[in-house]
Amino acid sequence: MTGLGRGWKRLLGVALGVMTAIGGFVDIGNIVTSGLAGARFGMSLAWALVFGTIGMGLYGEMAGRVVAVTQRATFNLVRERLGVRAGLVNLAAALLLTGLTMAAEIGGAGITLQLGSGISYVIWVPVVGLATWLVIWRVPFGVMERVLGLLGLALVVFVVALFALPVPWQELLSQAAQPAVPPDEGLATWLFFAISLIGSAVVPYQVVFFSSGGVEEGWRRRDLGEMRLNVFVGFPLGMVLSLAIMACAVPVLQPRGVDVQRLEQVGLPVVAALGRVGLLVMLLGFFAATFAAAAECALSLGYSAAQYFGWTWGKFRRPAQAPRFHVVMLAGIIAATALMLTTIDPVQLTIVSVVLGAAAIPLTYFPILVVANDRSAMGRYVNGPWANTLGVVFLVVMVVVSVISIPLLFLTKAGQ
Amino acid sequence: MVAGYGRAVPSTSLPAGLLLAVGCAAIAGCAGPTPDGGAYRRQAQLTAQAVSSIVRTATLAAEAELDGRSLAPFSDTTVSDAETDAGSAQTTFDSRQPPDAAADRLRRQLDAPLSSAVDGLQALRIAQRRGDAGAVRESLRQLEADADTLDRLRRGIP
Repeated sequence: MTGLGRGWKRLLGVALGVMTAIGGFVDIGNIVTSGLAGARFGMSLAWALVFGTIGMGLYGEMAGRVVAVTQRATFNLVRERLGVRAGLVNLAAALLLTGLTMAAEIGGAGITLQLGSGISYVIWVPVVGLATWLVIWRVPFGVMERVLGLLGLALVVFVVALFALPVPWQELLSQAAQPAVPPDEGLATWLFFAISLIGSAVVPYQVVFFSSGGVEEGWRRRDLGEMRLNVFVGFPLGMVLSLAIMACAVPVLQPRGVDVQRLEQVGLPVVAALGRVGLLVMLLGFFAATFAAAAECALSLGYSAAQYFGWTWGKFRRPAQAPRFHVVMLAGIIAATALMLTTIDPVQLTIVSVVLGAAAIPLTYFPILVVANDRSAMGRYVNGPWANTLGVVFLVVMVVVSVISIPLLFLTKAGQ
Repeated sequence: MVAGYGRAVPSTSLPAGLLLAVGCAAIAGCAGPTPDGGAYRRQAQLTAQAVSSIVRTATLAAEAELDGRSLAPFSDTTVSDAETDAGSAQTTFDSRQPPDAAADRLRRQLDAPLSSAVDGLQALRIAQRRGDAGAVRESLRQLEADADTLDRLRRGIP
């Protein structure tokens, strides 16, 4: 291959990586919380999404840098830096939250299939669970990540719908720029949904998946530039999709007083703006986003447990080579599928899991910050003053969020 | 819906089991007894608001299908879910014990539009599945009126 050909191939690889990061950023947490917040609070909570994405970008970059330099993934560091006992508590919380999130994602994929077929999601849930396991078992990591991430880009339909709807742009921008609690809402409820939006952007499984994926793909120092592009371009553009979902709800759902409690309600603005074609594209995006996230959650369960206990792990390894890693994933998929078969409400489950996820973030992010600051491990790739200042500020805010999230969950009755 | 009011506990100290309990309690939707008139009025407001939101969701979906802008499985699922949710909201409200005579009056006021909305959603679902555009339009008119009544009642509750 000529030098020019190699250049194009590399450029294509970078573009694919960024697009994958955009599509992969959105999951059921983003879809539900953005739609819900837009319908209820307009754009007054857009700042929470921006804040969460900045935090995700900061710590995603740190985790990716640590992998590229040390070839060590998140839970490896958690055990080393927090110690065995505190690390175990962290692992238990991560497994629980990721399991709950996976259940919500499987439920979301099932509901999307119901919306497209009319067949009850309860029938689809085991099918989605089985498909998740098959993808993890048979499909190579890069193919899985790229194909599902790119299909997730179908959610761009919300951006298109935004331009087809009678959007009061000035009002939206004003709400976003000068956030205030709407007159008929309480501060506690507003804050609760702010936390849910932050939680949707910084879900712990995504950092575990991102860093472990880096190990799977063999990131080295030379890959830092591409990794940073994915994080600093892909994630913010993924956030734009979430903001579009939020903004679409404002002209269609908010004036009618529609409170989002179901996934289909989030899609109504697209139907109003773009009709059947828009609806089909949106359903494809919903399915890709939730199904990809279910697979990422399952992998994150395996990664977390295997890295903590020091088991052999890796998606490229056959089940016989890494049996405990594969058993954890399979058990997680079965448990999440069983939870959804109880007909528990996936939207409420999503809200609770993103809020609890936000509460648990310091446990996952703190060890990453410590290692990214360790010059003996990172050499010249150690955190600079900007990364440190922003990282510490974000972590302090997340500790405050962690302390107030559970009381707010009760006080607002999960945001009612 | 959450069963009760929890003691504030810093989440970082919560063991995983308690986190699960918190999550399950938050999702389970258990309803506790109504302690006083204020709480009953608040419940009435929330119910009126919820059912109005549900009705308007169903009307949006059904209108889109009438205009040929939606797919039948999407509208059918949306309307069926609305019917289930409205019935559930009404049942939950009816299960609350009205604490005094004022609460009895409020309950009677709210009962008619709630029942009408639930019946209307059922009629809409039947008409939609039969492909009866005239009946769908008739149901939509009735449901819009019910939602307006519920909004008016909600605003009027002190």
